[in-house]
Amino acid sequence: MLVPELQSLAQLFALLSGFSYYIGFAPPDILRRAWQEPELRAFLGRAAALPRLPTTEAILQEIADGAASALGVSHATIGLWDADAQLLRGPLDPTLPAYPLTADIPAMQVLRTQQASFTPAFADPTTKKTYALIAAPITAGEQRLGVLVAYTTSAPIFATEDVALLSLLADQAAVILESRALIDEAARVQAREHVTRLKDDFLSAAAHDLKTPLTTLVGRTQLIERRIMRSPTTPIDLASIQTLVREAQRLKRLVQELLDAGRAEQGQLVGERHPINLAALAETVRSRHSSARHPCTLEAEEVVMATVDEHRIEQLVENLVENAVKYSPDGGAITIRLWHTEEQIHLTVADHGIGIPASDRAHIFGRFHRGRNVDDRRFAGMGLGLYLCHAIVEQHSGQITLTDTVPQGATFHIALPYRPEGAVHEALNLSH
Amino acid sequence: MKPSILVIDDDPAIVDLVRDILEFEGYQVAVATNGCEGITILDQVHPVLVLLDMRMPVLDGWGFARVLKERGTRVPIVVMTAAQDAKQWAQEIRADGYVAKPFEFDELLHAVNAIKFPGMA
Repeated sequence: MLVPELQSLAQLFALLSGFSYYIGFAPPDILRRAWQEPELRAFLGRAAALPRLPTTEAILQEIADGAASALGVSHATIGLWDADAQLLRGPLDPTLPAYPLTADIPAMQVLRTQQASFTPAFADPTTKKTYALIAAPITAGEQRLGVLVAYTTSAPIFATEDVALLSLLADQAAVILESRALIDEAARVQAREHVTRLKDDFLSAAAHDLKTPLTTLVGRTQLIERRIMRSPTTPIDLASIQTLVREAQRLKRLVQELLDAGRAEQGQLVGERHPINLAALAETVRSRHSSARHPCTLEAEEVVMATVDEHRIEQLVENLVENAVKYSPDGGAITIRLWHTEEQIHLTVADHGIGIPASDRAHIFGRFHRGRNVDDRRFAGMGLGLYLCHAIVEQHSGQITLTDTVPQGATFHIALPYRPEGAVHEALNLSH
Repeated sequence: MKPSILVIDDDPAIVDLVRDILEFEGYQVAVATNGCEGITILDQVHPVLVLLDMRMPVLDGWGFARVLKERGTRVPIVVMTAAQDAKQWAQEIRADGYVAKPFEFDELLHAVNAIKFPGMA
């Protein structure tokens, strides 16, 4: 009964001994190739995802690592050909010099000839070491992208097939880099389209808002003209003139806001900075807006020095307090608080008005965005106010955030970097 | 005496302007600052024409037109808006005319005078 099983066991032993015999005499490069195959498979498996890595450096590093492990050597690197400067650069190793096309190194020979090559002993003048290396051109169509180099300091273990394998990997690298370039280009086109759309929105919203005061200015002046033509002795009524003045000023404010938005977009909203006392600035704004309907209080330390663009920071606080008044149509207290820690200056403006719905919060600082609970005309405005506030704070390296006021209303919180006394004095000295 | 016209716009400066121009031309004018208020005043004054802004709080121009249609109230409407698509919006609510802001004195009058008021020669 046991005989057939013993037989098969004997067959198995025979097979295993044959296999070990083969392993003992097999050429080492074939063996190595068999051992490296999983690495090669792993690299090819990852290759499709590589163009989407966050940076070109990360992509190059993955390709180099993949090539090194597929060839079973310690190192691989990539030189990228900068066609404008006519230099080969090594972005993976910042210590490497940039080589001109004439440089006498294997990578440049490969780039010149567009032929992969094996150099058994290359004496590197910079590291004073001798390397065995193979290099293959990374080329997409006619376009030279760079060179893939695999190298090792140990005895030359490369086989002829390795040159062909590295060439294949270099071709793969070319495909990956080309895809990356296409992805980048698509992103650039998309970004341009997005900017164009924003500009269109900007223009149509601006045109809409400018038309309203303009309608009054055009229509009312023509009405005054007709009245005088009909009965030249009738005096011009004061109310009409007051309307004209008010609407002209409204137009002026809108135009100024538009110009500021343009500056903000270019990051040029904030101008020269000088040390000022923010507490005094906040008090000026507070007194300007405080009324019986909207009592405005300031809770602040006596002196909070900051090196800022005074005009813009005043505009910022003014905008927030104006908003607080505007969006508290039934009246209500407004509180400005100002304090500082070792690192930051904090300023909050809190109201008890209509508040800001949760769904609007993500966009509230975007250009032209207005809250969903904001009646378009009941609360006039172009939706630029908070966009400008955000730009002013950001250009002062600060943050602006929004929280609820309990039980209702909105609180805007600004945090600016606090410059200790020394820095303030320095700034004072510099400005004099 | 010329008939009465209802002006609905949420911008007080525009409402004042349109009222002053129409009164200067001898019309009677009633005003409202949103569609909802407009419906109430419409029932009181029975205007021969409504000058209607489209973007308004509470009840906008579309809402106003829908309420009139649902009630079967027939009154000519001239849309008055600062939006770029004034003509399209006027068509959407089957208005009898439109005037785009900023309008000239005469443009407003032309738009109003183009309407054939019932009972007028």
